[in-house]
Formats: sequence, C-alpha cells, structure tokens
Amino acid sequence: MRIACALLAGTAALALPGHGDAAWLVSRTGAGAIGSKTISTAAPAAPSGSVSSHDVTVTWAVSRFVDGTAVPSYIVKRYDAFTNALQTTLPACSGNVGATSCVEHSVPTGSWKYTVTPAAGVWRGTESAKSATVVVLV
Amino acid sequence: MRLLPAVAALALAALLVVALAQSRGPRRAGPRTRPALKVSGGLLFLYPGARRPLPLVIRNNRRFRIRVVSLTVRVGNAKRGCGREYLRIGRFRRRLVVPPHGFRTLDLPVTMLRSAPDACKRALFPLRFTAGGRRA
Repeated sequence: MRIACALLAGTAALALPGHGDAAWLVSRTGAGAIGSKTISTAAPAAPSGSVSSHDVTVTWAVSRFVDGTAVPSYIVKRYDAFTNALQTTLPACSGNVGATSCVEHSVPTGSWKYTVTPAAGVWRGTESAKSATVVVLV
Repeated sequence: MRLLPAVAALALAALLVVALAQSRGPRRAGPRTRPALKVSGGLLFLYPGARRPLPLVIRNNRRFRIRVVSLTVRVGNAKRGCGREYLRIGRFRRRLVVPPHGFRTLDLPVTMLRSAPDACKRALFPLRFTAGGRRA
C-alpha cells in the first residue's frame, strides 16, 4: 500500500503545473540581417581656408551617406598651390577629423590649397575640389 | 489488500503517461513542432566605427512563461571581401522572461569595425538566432 501511495504521489507531483522547470527549450529558428550603407559618390563642395599668422582654419560643409545622414569624419589634405604636390597635414587636421572645421597650426610659409574627403573608418568618399589659394606669409 | 496491485498498476500507468507526455513536450523543437521561442530582428545603415543597438523580438509560442537563458547570434559573411569578422555583436547577459504567447524585446550592441573595407558598402550580413530557455 505504501508503494502504491508513493507512486501516486510521484505521479501527482509530475503532473502538477510548474514542476516542468527542468524542461529545456532550444529554438534554432529565427533569422535577420544587418545592412550597411555607403557614402555618396557626389564630391563635396570645396573647403574654405582663412589664415591667422601661421594658423590656417579650414572649414567645409557636411557630407552625407546615401541615406541622408552625416558621415562621421573627414580627411583633410593640403596641396602646394603651384606644384599640386601633396603636403603632410599637420596635427589637428590630420587623420580622421570628426568635425567640419579644423585649425592647422604652424603651417609653413607658402601658398596652399585644401581638399576634404568624407570618411568612415577606412571608407572614403570622393575628394572635394580644391579650395581657393591660402597664402601664409613669413 | 486485493486492491493493492490494481492501485499500483494504475499509478504506474499514470506515471508512464505523464513521462511520455513530457518527453513529447517542449524539451526540444522537432522538425514539425513549432519552436517554443522565435527570435527575429535586424538593423540597417551600419558603417565602419558605428555602434548601434540591434533590436530583437523574442516570441514565446507556448502556453507557459519561458525564461530565456541563452541567446546566440550567428553572423554570416555579407559578400566576397566582406566577412563576418568585421561585425561584433554583444552578448546576451540579462534576465528575460517571455509571457505565454507573448513577446519581449531587447537590444544587443553591434559594432562594425573601423577596418571594414569598401566591399562592406551596401552589404547585408545574414543573421541566425538560437535561443535557449526553460519554463519559468
């Protein structure tokens, strides 16, 4: 009789709701996707430059991805106005600039032109046309 | 005392029925069984260096509450030159209980590495979700 009672109790315990906690459920269904965007191929407008002694402030307009959002950074380049030789951009304007202006300090005496290229990581957009000549005097 | 064998046999039969029912229950989704948990979600407009929340919806197809204990996201290659190694997806770490026949949402952080090449422009990374849970 005791065995029968134990069996009945065990059955009841298993049948009661809330005791299936050990039941594991693994669902392998479900799918999705992550999409990326791209930088517009349209060239940005030429930047402008203003001089104060040997500091040149370069400003430019926002460039956008094709979905209309702003790109996160820009590459600023400086060229010799006469030879078109690319120069090394000085700190504050070098690398990926995360703004729409920068100040290049201690720019050597000479005549220079600037361009900006939209950038996101290693992605690059189209380089802008060159700015008007910026003259840094002695 | 003559009832004893009958009661024992009845109890054993009941045990067998319950065990059978539970073994056919929601332990593991069979090929023709509707999965207990269904996960869906996606994200657009990612770019190198961007970190965005990946919104996910977890649906419970059962009549009882399910505690989600694991959630993995498998990322596939987008296309030639743009492999899954350029995406980082954060881990599921929170406690989440999905109501019966209901759903819950959560976000996992996604980052596209700054080194993602041009091949990753306009790319689509397929995702596969695996969710593990237990009756709550």
